[in-house]
Amino acid sequence: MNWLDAVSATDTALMPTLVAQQIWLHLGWSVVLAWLALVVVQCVWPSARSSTRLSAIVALAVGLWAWVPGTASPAYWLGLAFQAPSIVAVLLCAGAVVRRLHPGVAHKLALDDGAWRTGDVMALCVLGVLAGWALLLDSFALLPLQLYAWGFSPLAVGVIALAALLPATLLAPRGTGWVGRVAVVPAVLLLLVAVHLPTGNAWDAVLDPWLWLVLQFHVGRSWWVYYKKSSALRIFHEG
Amino acid sequence: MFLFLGASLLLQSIFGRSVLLRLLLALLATCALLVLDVVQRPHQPPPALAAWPVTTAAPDLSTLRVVDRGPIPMPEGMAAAHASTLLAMPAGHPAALTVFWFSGDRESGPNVQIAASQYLRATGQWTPARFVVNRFAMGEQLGFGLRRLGNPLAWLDGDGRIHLFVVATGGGGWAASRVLHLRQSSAGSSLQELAFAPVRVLPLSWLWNTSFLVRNAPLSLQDGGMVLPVHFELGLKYPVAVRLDAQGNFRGLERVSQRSYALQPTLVMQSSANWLALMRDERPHGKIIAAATHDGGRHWNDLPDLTLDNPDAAVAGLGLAPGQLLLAYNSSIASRGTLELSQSSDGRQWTPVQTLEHGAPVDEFSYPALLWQDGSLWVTYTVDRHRIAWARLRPRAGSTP
Repeated sequence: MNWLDAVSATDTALMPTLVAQQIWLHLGWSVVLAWLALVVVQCVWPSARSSTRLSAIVALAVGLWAWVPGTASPAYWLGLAFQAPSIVAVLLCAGAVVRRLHPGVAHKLALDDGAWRTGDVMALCVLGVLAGWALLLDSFALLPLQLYAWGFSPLAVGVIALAALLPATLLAPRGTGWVGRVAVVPAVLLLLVAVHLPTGNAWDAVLDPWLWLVLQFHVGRSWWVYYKKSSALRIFHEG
Repeated sequence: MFLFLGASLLLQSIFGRSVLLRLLLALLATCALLVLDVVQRPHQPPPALAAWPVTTAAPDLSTLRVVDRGPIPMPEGMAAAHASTLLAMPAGHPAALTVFWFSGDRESGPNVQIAASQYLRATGQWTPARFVVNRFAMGEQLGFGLRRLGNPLAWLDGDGRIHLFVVATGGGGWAASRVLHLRQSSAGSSLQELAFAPVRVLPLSWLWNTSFLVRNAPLSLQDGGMVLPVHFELGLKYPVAVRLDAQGNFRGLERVSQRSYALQPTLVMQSSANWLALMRDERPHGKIIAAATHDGGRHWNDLPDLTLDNPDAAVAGLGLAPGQLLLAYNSSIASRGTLELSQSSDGRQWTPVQTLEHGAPVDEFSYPALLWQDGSLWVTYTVDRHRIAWARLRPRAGSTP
């Protein structure tokens, strides 16, 4: 077996153990639910925005709820419907929790709101949206290639890592925290290589359907804001 | 991960000012990741070569006749039964066969479980049925719920342990199905002690891993592994072959057909590397659909449909020996009231061997399963979704093709 065969093989998949999958199921959904709880509580109850402690307690309580064993756990029902979230989704939710509870720390880690609107991160989001569409078509066998099956190969890990690093490499302004800000996907792939979560498939580690929907919303909204600003500027200059 | 981030930040301070150097850093990071990944992985499995189920002189299939038949005992009080599958037990085991199916108050009901019965060599009788898989117990072990259970499928691995692959739905109907992989957890495999523990849900789709189902028996490989036929059925229907090694570890998947209306593939070997996939046709007035591989499942090509009608019903095929193929199927375009057994030498032209059941159009004799064991062909099938029936067919003594 030569090196190229080994890298492109789709039949050498490594799977996580059942115990690892169970831990990830609860950990993943606990982080996602903690973020959702924060969003809801700070929207419904604006005074919670100023009370970090109260918000943290709510997030912690909801996060811990996911660890309750059996049918009392939301992870039991979310797993039934959606299996486990991707590692990228969980890391992004964790980052969003930090941003809401400790904005200063988030700024230092380049996780603040501004990072989402930079060109390199937007390019990464667009790549995620396109990959999601391709995976959706592949799920219905509407592509000539088998994209999901390819996700079990080492080559998929390499190509996704490179694709995730390229936007920052080419687009990020000099001297900015370009590696830290877009290291999420390569770091996730490193985690996949180490523990094979959540399924052993690279696609499941970097992009799940919920994350894909959120990315579409983010890209769509950003494009709309950009379009409206451009229109306003054009009208201003023409006027 | 923190090491990775730390190293990245350090390198950023060195390389951060030049796009070329950044590109070099990205390539280096990718290569490091690739090397780390490749060194962990198992060796690529050898090419998949199927193993013949009959290693002695092949019988004359045209002389196959039913020598025994009847109903398989149902679990007490259960009104519904469907989708049986047969497993040949090892030589020396008290049971010649184990049959698995799903049973409950009604199909898709909350109390549907996987039932099993064994055909004992000593008595020539089926044991009383017993439930061996319960969705609540499996949900507890998995950490997430299973809404309903469906088609089971059994396989004996290289270490003699029974594996079950069971359709288990998520948040929806059959189109929200996943394939749950279970492995024998009991020391013995007699029906009374038989118990299973989950291995995992097979990862088959990106879309919340939904809409893949199993139905037909796996194709055993010479390396002790197998190829498991599954199909996708959310809107479009297409078949996929999943490879597992001798220990039951997932090794990859390959799409079998480009058609969007082919489901429930049954794999029929013609030689070690030449296999047919024969499939149920979802279309009205359909025919049995065929695809073929000539390299042990690495690549598949669609073939013209068979001339045999298919009333959107499951078929079961078996490659017994070179040029000796068997197929059980519903032969009427309009109903599942007739169940036929045919033989073929090439997989294209089929000759009837015996009509297994012939009822009224409203009757249902469906979802056949075939197995060769102890010099006999064993067939099980669903009767009116209420019970499972079996038949044993033997070739005329001394007959050869």
